[in-house]
Amino acid sequence: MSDERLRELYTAAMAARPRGGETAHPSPESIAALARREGSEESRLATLDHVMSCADCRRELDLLRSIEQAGGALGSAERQSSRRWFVPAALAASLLLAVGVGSRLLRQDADTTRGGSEDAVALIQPGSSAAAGGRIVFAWHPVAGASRYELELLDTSGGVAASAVTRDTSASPAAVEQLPPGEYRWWVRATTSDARALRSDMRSLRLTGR
Amino acid sequence: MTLPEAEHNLSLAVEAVVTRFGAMVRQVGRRYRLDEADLDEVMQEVRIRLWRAQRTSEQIGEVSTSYVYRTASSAALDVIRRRRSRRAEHHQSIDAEDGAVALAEPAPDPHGALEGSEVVRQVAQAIETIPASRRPVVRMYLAGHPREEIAGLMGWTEGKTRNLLYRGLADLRDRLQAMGVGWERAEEAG
Ligand SMILES: [Zn+2]
Repeated sequence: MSDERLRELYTAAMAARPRGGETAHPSPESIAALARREGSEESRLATLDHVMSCADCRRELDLLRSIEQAGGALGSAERQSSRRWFVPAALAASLLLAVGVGSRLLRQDADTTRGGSEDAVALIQPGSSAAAGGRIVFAWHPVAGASRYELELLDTSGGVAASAVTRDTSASPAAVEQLPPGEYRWWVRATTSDARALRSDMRSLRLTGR
Repeated sequence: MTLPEAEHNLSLAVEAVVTRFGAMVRQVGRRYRLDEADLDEVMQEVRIRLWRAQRTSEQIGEVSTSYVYRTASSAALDVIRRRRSRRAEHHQSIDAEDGAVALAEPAPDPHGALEGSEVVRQVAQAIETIPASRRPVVRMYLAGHPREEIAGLMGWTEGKTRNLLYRGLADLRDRLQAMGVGWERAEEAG
């Protein structure tokens, strides 16, 4: 018989087996170990021997090894570009406001912002409080190569209360003068000419009544 | 902004992370026979976990790819465990309801559907006699997996894979011939 015929017979033999074959299903951890190439070769071969003769376990292996390989592929891509996903940082920041992501910048930030504190945007002023109704100058340290800065002031619901886009390292949005006393947070994102995005921390600002 | 809106926006942001990782898994999974429904179930579990983690976390921190990957990895194990227990319950309930009937019925002929069922049985038997170190390789080969995939899965070199497969197929051929089943030629395994 040919190899092709042998394959047909083998497939038929596997299909005719009782569900799960003759041996007990290996634990999910054993199948994961096979997908991760963890553990001794002998134990992985034993797992593989069952998996290749059991449709249920085979499906589990396919799922686990797809995830393993995707993790590996993304991990090496990340190491090469030294990029990080910053979404959850944005999420955590916005959740400190007890709401979701209200900011357009935070949402945009999802995929583009680079991590690393050494090249983040450092804020200068205002401090933690300022008088409501007056002009407030927001300022930050310049970032090398920055072509644009975006400032956002968020209210307690996470909505954007005021914003500005500038090439300068300061801004005083007129909308701030109209804001009622209360708790706010603000932050700055810098975009460099080579399209990298760097962000500042989120800073609290209390606007006090007169 | 209302809380539902905020939650909607949050879910959009979580979605961005999950989608990116999910797309990569899908792309990789195409090489195998990854069941898309399985992946969907896992990614749904990942969403829920990222949500919970971000809700309880006091820290503003980055979540790296490896975090998302680890989350997906452990979510997949949970999905698998859940499915296994559902399957076990299902079988138990069938046994409970139809047990008496099932016992009364004659065991179905497992090879009845296939012509030449004796040969099928012999092939199944012969496979079992291949030494454990090369049997899985032969199984993968006969199930149609390319050699590169076997090498990748086991972390073997091309040479080692070829050697084990060659020897495993030789074992099988010898065994089948001893059983009186002719095998004209072993397609080059190397
Ligand atoms: Zn199994």
